[in-house]
Amino acid sequence: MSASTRTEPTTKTRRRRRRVTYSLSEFLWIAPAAAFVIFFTFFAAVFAVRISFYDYSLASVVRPFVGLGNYIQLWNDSAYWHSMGLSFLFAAIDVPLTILIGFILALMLNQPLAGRSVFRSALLLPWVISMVIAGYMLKWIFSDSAGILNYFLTELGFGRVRWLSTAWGAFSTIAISHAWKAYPFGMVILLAGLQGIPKDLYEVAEIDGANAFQRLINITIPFLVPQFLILFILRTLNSFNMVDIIFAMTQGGPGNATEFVSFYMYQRAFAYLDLGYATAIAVTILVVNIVLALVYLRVLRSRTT
Amino acid sequence: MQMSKEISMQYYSLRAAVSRRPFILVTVFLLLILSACAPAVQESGGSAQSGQPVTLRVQTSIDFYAENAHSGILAYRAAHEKFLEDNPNIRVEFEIVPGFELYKQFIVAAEAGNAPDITYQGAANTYTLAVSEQILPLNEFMENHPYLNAENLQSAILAVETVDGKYYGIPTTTDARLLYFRKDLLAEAGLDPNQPPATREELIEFAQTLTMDKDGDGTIDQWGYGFMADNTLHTPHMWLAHVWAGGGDLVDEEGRAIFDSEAGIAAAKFYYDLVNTYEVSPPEVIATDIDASVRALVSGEYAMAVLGSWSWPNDLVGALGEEKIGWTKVPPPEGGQDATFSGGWSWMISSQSEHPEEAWAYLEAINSEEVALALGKVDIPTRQSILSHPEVQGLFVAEAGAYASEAAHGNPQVVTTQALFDGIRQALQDVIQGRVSPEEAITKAAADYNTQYAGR
Repeated sequence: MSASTRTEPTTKTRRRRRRVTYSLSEFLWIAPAAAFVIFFTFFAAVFAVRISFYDYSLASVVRPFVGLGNYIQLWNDSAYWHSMGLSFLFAAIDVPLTILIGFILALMLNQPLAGRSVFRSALLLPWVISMVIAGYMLKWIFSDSAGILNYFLTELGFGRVRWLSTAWGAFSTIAISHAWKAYPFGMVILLAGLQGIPKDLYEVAEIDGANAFQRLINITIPFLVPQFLILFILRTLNSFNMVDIIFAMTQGGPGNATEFVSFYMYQRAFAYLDLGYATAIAVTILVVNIVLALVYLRVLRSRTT
Repeated sequence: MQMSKEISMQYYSLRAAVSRRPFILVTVFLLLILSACAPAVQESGGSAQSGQPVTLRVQTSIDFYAENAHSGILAYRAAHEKFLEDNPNIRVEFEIVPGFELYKQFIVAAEAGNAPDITYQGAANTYTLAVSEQILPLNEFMENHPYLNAENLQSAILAVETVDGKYYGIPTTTDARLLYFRKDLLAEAGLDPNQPPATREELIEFAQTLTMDKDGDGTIDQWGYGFMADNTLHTPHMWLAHVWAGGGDLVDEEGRAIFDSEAGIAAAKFYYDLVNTYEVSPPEVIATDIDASVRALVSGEYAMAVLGSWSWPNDLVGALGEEKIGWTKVPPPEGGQDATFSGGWSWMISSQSEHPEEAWAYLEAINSEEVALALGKVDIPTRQSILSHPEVQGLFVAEAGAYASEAAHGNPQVVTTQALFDGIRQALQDVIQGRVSPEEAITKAAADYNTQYAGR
């Protein structure tokens, strides 16, 4: 029998025995961390799903089982559908915007510029500021009456813009603020991807007469597809779960113009104390996140194979 | 191949054996560290009478040891220190929490079985805390008490603190919504600063006269009237004064929303008209918080504004002086009645407290008449004994307090106050933006609340 036909069963056997001999101690090493994750993530999620079947209010001592009652109420709740629609719209705008900004900056930082490391550090600053602090800071900048942005716009002759006192203004402000806060993450991921692209390909393409745009479309972007798809997944999940910047800047207003589904859930849980209803909303957000992640992963798998 | 397989198996066995030993050592070490970090056993079951050590956990937004504290805080501090001196076996631990977080943090702590002994809560939360049995009724302590009794408390605040005949909180101070006006700007515009508007109709006339482009650049830089329409509870609180003044109400006895009455729709239309019809208020009111509104009044961007009584002493008089700023009642519509919204804060004892007697002893100490008098010079007192005190008579707090005594309405007794007020806030902001008519917005807000929350 040749070595190649004997390799597969031998490798399988070795793998099986390897699992038996060292898995116990390695399992013990990760057990504390695993216990922490299981308790605070998995167990918490299971408990949350459980209380979504109860009329579970922190303002009541009676918490009856209501079965699908919370979900039926959700189905009939126009405010919930409005908030879910807003979240989808926001994700559709925010995700490509954030990735595009990160991509442009990554391309610039990948060039041999003087002072590149200084620029890189400066461009990472939004990432290190906490979202809540950034939110309050941006609220001041965008303030209709006292904000510095309106001050400069007025000085330049454009007049005041109602950033936070109109529905479209508040939505745009949240989108701009979140993109500003989130672009560094994409920039870092894409910059790492850019630096992994073989330089020879660009040289060969240049010799063949490809211009910069053609090199971008035919070399850079195809090589960055895995990074783009990872970013799409992570940015989408982040957009759906965003509460902090809305809490700091608009509290869901004006009216319900920025009441995204995550903030709607937060309000129901911690302002209305209706944990049962809030966890039902959380379950629907979880389902949406899982579906979107699965769709992206399917695309990623088909692209990378 | 056979040889390499044996070596591999030996390698992994050895690796497993070697890695177990340090793991066991590290685990033992961690367990020793954890046991050393375990808290000391708390003395419990002690009492002031028995002299056994007792620790009281007090959750509040007031820092008794804050720098630049006003006279009321200093009075708290003195009373606290005297209590500790008189009760050496009692230790008091403070948990200082921002005011807007107090309710959430208490509820969550109570849910975890870890509620503090004493909590300081807004009057809006008393009903919910009482019906969910998170706080203790204080009747046994308050009945026959020389000054902490129901007869001595101002009626509006007492109504809020009473649930099914039981009292649940010791109110400290209360507040009222008042119409403030810039006397100097009224005089500049040819209006009599000693005759502020007395009705809603007069308010509009005044506001129209006071709204002007002072520097001729085509944009209004002095608005006749500013009001709260932002994303906080101030919005529904201030709006409700107009609803009550018009004869309307917020909820009925069964907790159903009834603010979609004629008075409620008229009050919403009033807000719409101020911004869109008469153009005496800026559209940006829906994004202007209370601090910005106070600054706008001080800077002259607003000539008049309805704000809280707490702004008077430091923010307004402190910045402008009484010669430039005045106050009056919130003007009712023609044929309406005086009405304002009153809130306030109260000290409560948690139902999870293992030392209710000691907790009451502490509350009695820090709510003495001396402390109440000091606080009552800063904001509206809640006790008749303080309102009628010679040192308070003639002060702003006494006059505003007299107005509040006659005209104030408090928070509704429903567990879903936040949902109620959120619906009103969203409706008003939609109305002001012109996205929906006042009738449609207010009717929908009431209907939505009644469908989802009424009677819970």
